[in-house]
Amino acid sequence: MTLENLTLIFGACLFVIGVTGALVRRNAVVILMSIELILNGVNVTFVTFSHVYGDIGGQMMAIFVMVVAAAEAAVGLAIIIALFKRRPTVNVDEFQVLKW
Amino acid sequence: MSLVLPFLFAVLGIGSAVMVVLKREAMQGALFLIVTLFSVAAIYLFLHAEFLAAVQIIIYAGAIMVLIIFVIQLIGTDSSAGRINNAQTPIAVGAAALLLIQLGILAARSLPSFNGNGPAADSGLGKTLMFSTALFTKFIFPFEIASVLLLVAVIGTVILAQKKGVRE
Repeated sequence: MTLENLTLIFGACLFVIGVTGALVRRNAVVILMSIELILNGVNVTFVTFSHVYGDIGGQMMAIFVMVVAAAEAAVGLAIIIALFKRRPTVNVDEFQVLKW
Repeated sequence: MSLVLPFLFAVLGIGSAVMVVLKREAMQGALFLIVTLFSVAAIYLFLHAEFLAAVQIIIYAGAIMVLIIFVIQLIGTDSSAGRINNAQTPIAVGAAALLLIQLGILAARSLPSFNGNGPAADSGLGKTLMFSTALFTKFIFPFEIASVLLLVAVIGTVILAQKKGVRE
């Protein structure tokens, strides 16, 4: 097993743990944190392949993913706070207005 | 190179990621997520991505996580949202296990280009000079788009957080 194998498996595990957390948890902030885990798993994969091929493009992609993650975390948290003002809960099961 | 240190950091990262998902309190999950982000930064250091490791600690663990902790403190504890076992748990865990097996098979397969040495140590791959040269010449267009994206995110956040709430 080389270093690249290890970091690829690490990225895959982070991704899968993040997906499980986003599906299972009911707290909106914890779902957001699980999405951050997903993005970190993807970043690790990008940086691993940048290391394999000696190409800076993978790290570039990773930093743009970080920028998007920052913007998305800010807007997502603003949405959560706006929802919390309406009804004092962050349980996503309670917000069913859009459900058909 | 020896795989002991990367393996230790990977185990630390995966362990704290599992704790993020399993912990009932959001605040404890946020602290474990900070540990995960630091272990990912350590893995970046092994992968010749030094600038990215610094950016990860400053931006991810330093700005995004502080924002999330602010919001967790503002919201307080929500006991109803702490439940982990609900109707979707078996399906989610089954699908996640399947995905992990698929990704694990892919990741454990050694491509011919995995020689374990990576780029030359003096090629300057992850150092600031090559990173910034690429960012401002080859990737200038995504860089400008990213700044527009951040501006839009700031405007959106300010509008969403207004005192009167969003106009009906």
